[in-house]
Amino acid sequence: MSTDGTPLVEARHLGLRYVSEDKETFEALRDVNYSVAAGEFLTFIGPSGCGKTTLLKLMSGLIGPSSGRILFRGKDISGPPPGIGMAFQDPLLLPWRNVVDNVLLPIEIVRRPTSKDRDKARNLLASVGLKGFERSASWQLSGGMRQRVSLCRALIRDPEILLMDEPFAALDAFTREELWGVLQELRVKIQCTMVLITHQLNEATFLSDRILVMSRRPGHIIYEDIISAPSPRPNEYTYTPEFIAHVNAIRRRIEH
Amino acid sequence: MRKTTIVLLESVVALLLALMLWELAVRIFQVPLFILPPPSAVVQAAYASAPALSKHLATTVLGTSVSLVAAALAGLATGLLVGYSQAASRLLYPLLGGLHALPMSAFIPIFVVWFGIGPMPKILAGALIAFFPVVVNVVTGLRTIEPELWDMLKVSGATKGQIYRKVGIPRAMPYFFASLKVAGGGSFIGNVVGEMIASGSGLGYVLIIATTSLDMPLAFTSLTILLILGMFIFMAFEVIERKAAPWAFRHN
Repeated sequence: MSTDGTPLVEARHLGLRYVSEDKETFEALRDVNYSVAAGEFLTFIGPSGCGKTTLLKLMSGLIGPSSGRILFRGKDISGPPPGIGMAFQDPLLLPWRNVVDNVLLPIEIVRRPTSKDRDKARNLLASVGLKGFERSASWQLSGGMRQRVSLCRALIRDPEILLMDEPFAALDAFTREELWGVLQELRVKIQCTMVLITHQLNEATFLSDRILVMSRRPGHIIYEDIISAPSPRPNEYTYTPEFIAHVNAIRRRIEH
Repeated sequence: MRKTTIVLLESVVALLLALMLWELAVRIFQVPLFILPPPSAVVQAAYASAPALSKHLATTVLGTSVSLVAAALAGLATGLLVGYSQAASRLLYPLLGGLHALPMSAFIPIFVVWFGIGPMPKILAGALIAFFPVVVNVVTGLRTIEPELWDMLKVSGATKGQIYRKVGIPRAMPYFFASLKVAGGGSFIGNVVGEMIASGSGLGYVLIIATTSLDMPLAFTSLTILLILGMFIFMAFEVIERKAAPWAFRHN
């Protein structure tokens, strides 16, 4: 995909310290440098507590850095920039709304959903294999289906960048692989830049164009791996020596 | 609904068995009427004073309803305010907790000084008892907004008000309706105690008059009506709760 011009997101010497309630400070991130090119699929991987989620909050403008800079389209992020979609481990659907109304929630923040918005929501749902479930109550769906709805909700406003925080971590292995496929198809269809946070080596290697490995706290980037196999990738890719070599290379960095 | 019917039948059978045991025990041990009347005597007393009792019943039901509606509205408003505003939470929540720890019946003499003997003291006492559970539940409901959902909506450009409207208030509704079950009981207690202390009508008043004249069948009659009324209030709100937020009961 295109990587021309200024990066979509850029972090320069990014650092973040938290002050806890008993006045103790701890450092979540230290001197983090990276950039996200438009259209790429970038994954951050690392042990738990390495500040991955903090990184996501910085990218979405929910918190500001303690040191260094984080830029969106070349400008310092202050407050959530427009054009960001988010998905989490918990699909966080609202149980009193049906599927299509859950997808439309981000639209409702800016305007009353039009029939065009509804059509768009239906199309998105159809493209993740949920045709016919538009009117279902969200709690009637399986975990994988709920996560598909969550992805549609994240994409309903045509974000430039989709931020995902361990979106498949709570799913069983088969469902997870299914959703890898769904995500790849979505990417072909909507050409959205995607940033994934995960602690799953297979997932990172299978989905990403580029992987940044983070260290334990204070988190910083210790390794970069570029996966050049063309996307979308077939499931068989996970059995190739190339795939396994990537996984092993990343694992070594995480363990040390 | 079929399941409800079975549960209802089971409780009726259990109640009938208990009443039979009671009747038998009173007859076998020849307990005097002014200590413990048998159920048959209670039924007779109920039949004999039915017209008067129905008037007192109406008084108690009306007072309880007024208390409950007032407590529900004030509790919902206060709960939303405390759940929404951190300042209101800091200011009001500890005070409300302290208030709740007081026995509300202790306020009745003060209300009598303010408003005189009549419906006002008992209605206020009932509303005061019912108010607190509503507030606590609404606040708890509002605080169940998941932090990630909050983040997602913030990133979508939502204001705090929008997040509360779209997520917080709907999410607090099952808590609110659940609290009405407790609040219904509270209003009822406040009204009956108020009638016992400072009123010329209502089932609480009947209970006091009956016991002071050692008319135990009548005392037990009003107690029985109170029991049935209490059960009715509880069950009615259970139904309302399920109808109002069916999505919160999906596992049944």
